[in-house]
Formats: sequence, structure tokens, C-alpha cells
Amino acid sequence: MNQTSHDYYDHPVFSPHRLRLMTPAITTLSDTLHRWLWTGCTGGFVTGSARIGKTTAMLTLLSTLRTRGGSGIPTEYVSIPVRDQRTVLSVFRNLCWSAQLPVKERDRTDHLSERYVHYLVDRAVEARCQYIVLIVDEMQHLVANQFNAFAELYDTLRLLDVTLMVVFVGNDQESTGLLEQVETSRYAHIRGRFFTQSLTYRGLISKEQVEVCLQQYDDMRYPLDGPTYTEFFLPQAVEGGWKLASLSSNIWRIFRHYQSNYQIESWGMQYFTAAVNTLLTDFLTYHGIDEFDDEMMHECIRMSGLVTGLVTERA
Amino acid sequence: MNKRIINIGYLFARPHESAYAIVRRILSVNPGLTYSDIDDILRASQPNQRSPYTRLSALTEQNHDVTSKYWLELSRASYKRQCPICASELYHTDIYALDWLARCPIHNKAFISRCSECGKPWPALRDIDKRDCPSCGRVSLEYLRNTVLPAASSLSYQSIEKLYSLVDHGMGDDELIIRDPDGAFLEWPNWLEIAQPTSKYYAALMTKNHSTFSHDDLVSSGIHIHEVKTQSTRIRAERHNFDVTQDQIYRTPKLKQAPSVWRKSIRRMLDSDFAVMQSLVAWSEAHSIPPHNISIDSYRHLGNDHFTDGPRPCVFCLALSVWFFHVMARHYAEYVADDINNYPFLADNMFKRPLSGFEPEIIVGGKRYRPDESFTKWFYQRGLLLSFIEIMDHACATRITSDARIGDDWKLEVQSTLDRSYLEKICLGRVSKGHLDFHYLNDNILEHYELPWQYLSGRSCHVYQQFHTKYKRDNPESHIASFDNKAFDKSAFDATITNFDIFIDKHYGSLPAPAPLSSLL
Repeated sequence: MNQTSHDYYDHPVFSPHRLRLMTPAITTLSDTLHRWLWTGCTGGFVTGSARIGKTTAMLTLLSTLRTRGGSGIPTEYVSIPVRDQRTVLSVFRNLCWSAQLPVKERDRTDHLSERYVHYLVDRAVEARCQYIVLIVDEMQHLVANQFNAFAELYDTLRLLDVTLMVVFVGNDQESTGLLEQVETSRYAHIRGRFFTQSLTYRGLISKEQVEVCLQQYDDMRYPLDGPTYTEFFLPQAVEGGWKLASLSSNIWRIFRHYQSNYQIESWGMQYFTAAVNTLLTDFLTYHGIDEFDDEMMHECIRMSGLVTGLVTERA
Repeated sequence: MNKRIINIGYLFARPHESAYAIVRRILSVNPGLTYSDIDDILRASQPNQRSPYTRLSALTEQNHDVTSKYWLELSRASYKRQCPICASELYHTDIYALDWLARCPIHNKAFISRCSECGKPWPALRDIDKRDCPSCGRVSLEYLRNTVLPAASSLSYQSIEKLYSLVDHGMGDDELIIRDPDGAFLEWPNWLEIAQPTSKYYAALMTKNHSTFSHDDLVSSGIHIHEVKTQSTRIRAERHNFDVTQDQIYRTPKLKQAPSVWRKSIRRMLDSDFAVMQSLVAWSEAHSIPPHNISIDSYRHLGNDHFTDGPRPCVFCLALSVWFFHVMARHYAEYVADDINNYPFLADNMFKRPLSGFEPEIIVGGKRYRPDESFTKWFYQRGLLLSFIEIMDHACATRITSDARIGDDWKLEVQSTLDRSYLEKICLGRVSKGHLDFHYLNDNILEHYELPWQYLSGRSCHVYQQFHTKYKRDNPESHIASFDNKAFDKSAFDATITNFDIFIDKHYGSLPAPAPLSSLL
């Protein structure tokens, strides 16, 4: 191997947060968000199973949203943590923290609300855009009353001629109760603004989608002018014309075994990339592509934590 | 500690805002934060910017160099002069601090030093967050949203843009040097003071020197144009090199063999020395208590103790004497001029070699030029008068220092006395198309010179002269001349110079005899 150990383990494949694959689900999500934006929606929610890749998908799309005219729309991301205090103040405090705005003990709700409004306005003016998107991840940690904070932001920004679209993202199982609560007449103003549009985010659901992801290992390069991801670990095989995508049928077939046994709706991206990365960097690197067989792939899927994760979730 | 940011309020920004206006805006878009909270964050994000003004100004795009000393000084106090309507719209710009801008160019309102809403003086930078007033303090979002500048209104800021182009234009005269061809007196202070945008005469100079800025146009922008006078002269390439100093020429029997241009120059200067001294004697007599026996003495023997303990000298006699010694030393004894100007009683007032009159040589782009004769003479005589005024200022300051024995406020008095003639000195030269335009404020400098009468009224020269008599008896050469209501004519001037030469001879050694003055005049 030509690479130094430092370079070798610096490869994005070894750090899941840096590995961004443009999956078909992300493309669908992007299309949906653009449809919401371009049709004047004020918000919507995206739900999906845990570890399915919702957060990664949202982070991937942060700088990609565009107006119809093609100019970039500033997009802010905030993740809601679990808190004892489930107040509107705590939401604004969290929003200000996420934006790196100073937050003081003495700050009142209206201080923080205005401070965050001005932060969003600054971003919109900097981007010369009248729209701004706020992605609120882990919405299952909110209580219905806290949605008023986002309604207030929306209303205030309207006065300053800036249109806010809020996209809530949450785990489907944990968000059900909250979504049912929002359906009640007490939260009609919230429902009308943010909960008329929705999208269910799924992992990989077909052999074709697996192939699209594997093709990206064959196309993406590290460093940018270096070898492809596949070539980085299997230079001789790639030189001989081999591609990782050629395993897509086998990989999907073996996953299907788990899908039917455990009734998995889709292959979550975290588990998929963990399995493929293990296959690429350990098994194929040490045993060679000719040694690939079903048992090797079973082992990779087991090591990805898919089964353990399902057991934990269901428990 | 995590990096923190603050909101800037770009939506409410306006062209050429001052650091002060930026602070008001930033405080308004960061409710709950104090000025020091904000400055702490800015300090962390811009560690290289040492001043809060540069830290704030760096947040916005500025056309001018906000880090320059000139802008920083202007910026620090500019908030004290504001337009009431601009202030209610959270706007202020540093250019409002300039004296020659009489009214707000946007709203045509006079600048005021107190908030029109709450009546308090405009708060300093650190106090804005303590004010709860829409015109001078932090404002709420509800108020702030009414200050968003509509696109149509942005045109009104063109007048501000125009003013900044006026300020940034500059006089462009870096290449021009007006110097003494002798090379001994190169300094002519304050050449460019008047050309600074902070000078109240700046706008007037711009109308005179740049066709871009017409008088009417500037007046309509709220600018008060102060009167500035101009002397124009044609300039010609200088062919002669003065390779010897003039005092050598005066003292050589070969004067008559010197090039005619030198002889003309020497004659012209002596003629001017006489004319100016005549006017100074007349001026001193007119402004002092009669009968005034004006006396020219060496004053070598005077120390500070004479001013505090003994009868104090007459400032008119003192100034005229110091001036005469200074001017004559220039012509006849340049090599001892520093010694001659070294008066122990003036040293405390930081008196050094005073200004000197000189016939100017113009240097443009390294080439030497000579102005025409009438300008040369006018310029030289003006220099002599300025020289006298500077000496008179010091003489008054010395006298005031000795009179004021009641605390520290005398220092202020001395300074104000020295400043009094300051404007008289301000002048600016500019060369264009073979002409020098020389701008200045007053034709007759002595007429505009104000004496500190509160210190001079009722002071007679008579008492001091009595005290002085004893010293004169022991050192007769120290007394150069007296003008006891006699006409100060050329023979008196000639005799005065002869006595000066005797004094020099006694104190600084034997010198060659000067050229007979009568042959020169």
C-alpha cells in the first residue's frame, strides 16, 4: 500500500460523518423540499425510522436549496436536545446557541426571540434572498406548546419581508404522539403553518438504489485528484476493470434475507455504509475480490449493527 | 470557549454609517446585550483591530480608510453633532463632524448637540445601551422595522456620497515645495493644515481648485463656504544656483560683482525689512500706552527671575527686539543665529528659532521655479510679519506666565494666546499650468492679530526702562536703538543695523564689515 498510515485512516470511508452519498432518498427529499419552497409552503415535517439517515440527508442538503431563479437559499439547522424545561424560552435559547449567538442567564424570551430573528434576517440579507429555511431535527423532543416559538419567528420575519420555511425532522415512532396532538384544534395555527406537508424518509429499498450508492464508491475520489474510493483500497482490482457496483445484486440479495426475517422496511444508510465500508476496507482488502461470498457479506451486515439496532429499537 | 457571533443588522444599514451608528444598530439587533458584551465578541473575532472604532468599521464596507489617524480622530467625537431626523432613523455619518458642513445634506436640518426627543446630550458609544429613547438609544424591533431604507429613498444618500468624494479628493499637491533657496529655513509650518478636510476652509479650497465641486453645488449640500483669498503668480524655471548663503554675500566687498539676480534679491529683502519694521514700529506705538519710547535691546541679561521679581519688560519692545535680532542675524550673522535666538526667559515657553521670511523657490516634481517679483516681495513681507506675530505670542506668553501666580490655569491662557494667530499662518500653495495659486486668509495680518489685552492693559514701558537703564550703562552695546516718537526712516534703520553689527562684533567676534546699507537701499 502506497499511502502513509495517516493518509490511509484519514479517508472519508473511515469517518462516517464525512462520507456523504447522494442516495435516491436524499434526491427525493431535495425534490420535496424544493416543491414546498417553490409552492409557497411555510413548512412541513419529515419522519422516518431511527438511523435511517435523515440527519445526514438534511446536512447534505443544507447548502443546496435554491430559489426558482437558481440563487441559494440560506438554510439553518438546529437539533433539539432532551431538556427538563420544555418552554418557548428554552427553544429560543437553543436556537441562539445553535447559531453561536451569545446567550445570557438574564435574557428574556423576547430578547432571544428578536436576537434570533435578526440573525435569520442577517443571513437572508447576506444571501440576498427573501427566503430562509430552518431545519429542526429531533422534533420528537419538543412539546406541542413549543411550536409557538416557530410560529412567532415566522410572523415576525414576515414583518421584515423575509419568508421562513420550517422543516421539522423526527423519528416516526417517537413523533406520533406529538403529531396527533398538533392535529387538535388547539394547535390549528401551528398545523396550518407547518404540518400540512409531510414526507416519510426511507433508506434503501431496491437493488437499483444499492447500485446507485455503490457506483459513488467507484466514482468519488480521495483526495479530489486521487484514486476513486474503491481504487484507494483495491488498486489492482480496479486496474483490472473491477467495480464495487458489480456486487450490488449480491449485496441486495443478502440484505433481503434480513429484510424478510426482521420485517425491515428499508436499509438505513448508517447500517448500509457501515456494512459496505467494512466489506471494502477489511474483507476485500485482505482477502481479495475473488474471495467475496455470501458469508463475507453476512458478516459485514452483522458487524454493521443492523440486527442489534433492530432488536434495541423494538425492545 | 466557543466562538460567538453577533447580529449586524444588515437590513438596516445605510451608506457611510459612522461607527457610532453601527453601534446603535448592533445594539438594537442584539437586544439584551450591552456594549461591552458586543465589544468583547468583536475583540475576540478581530484581535488585530485595537480600537473599537476600527473593529466596528471593519464590519461594513467603507470607501475611505477608516484606520487612518484622521478618520479615527474624527470618528471618536463625531457623534456630538447629529441631524435630529437622521438620528431618529438610526443614521449618522462621521462627515457630520466637519465644521464646514453646516446642515444635514439629506434633511437640510441644522446639526444639534442634544437629542431632540429626550433633550439629553447625545450619548457616548458606551452609553447608548443605557438610553431608552428612540432617537438616541437602542430601539425595539417594532421601531426598527420602520427604519428599513426603501429603495427609492436610497437616492437621498447620494449627497452623502458626494461629500465623501469631496473629502477623499485631496488637494493633490504633494509634489509642491515652497522653500527658502538659502536652504537654511526649509520649514514653513501648516502648509497643508488648511487642506485637511477638518479645516473649516477645506470646502472653499475645493471650489477654488477643483472644477468638480462648484460653489453653488456645495452650498446646496449644506456647506458653508468660508472666504479664502488667493495670490496668483506666474512661475519661471530657476536658472541660478545659490551656492553661497546670503549672509556671506552681505559681508563681501564683492557684492557689486555678484549676479544681478542676487543683488536684486538682497535689495528687495532689505527694502522689505525696512518697510515691515517701519510698520511694526508704528503698530507697536499705536497699540501701547503713550508716550512709548520703543527700544531695541539685546535682552541677553534677562532671566525668568526678572519676569517674576522685577519690573516686567514691555512686550512690544521685547518682541520687536527679538524679531529684529532674528531677522538681522539671518542676513548678517546666520552662523550665530541659534545663539542669538537663545533667550533664557523664552526657553521655558519652548521658543526655538522662529519663522523667517524668505523669498520663495518653488519646486514641482524636482524642478525649481521662481515666482514673479511682486509675489516674491509680498511673500517675504508676509513671512516677516508672521515671524513677528510668533515672537509676540511668545513674549505675551512669557509675560502672562509671570503674571499668573494663581494655579495651573495659566497654561491654558498661554496656549490660547499662542493659538490666536494660528489661523493667520495657514496657507496653501498649488501649482497649475505655470501658475502658483497661493491661498491664505487675511491680507493685513497685523490688523487681524488680537492681543491678550487683559494682560497688557495699563502696562507701561516706562517703569521697565528705568530698571533697564543700569544694565544699559554697563553694557552700552546691548542697546541697539530707540525710537522716541521720531520718524523711523531709512537712516534710523541704517543706524540700527550698524549698532547690531557692533553688538555682534563684541559678543561673537570680529566680522568683515557689512556692505554699506545706503548703497543697497
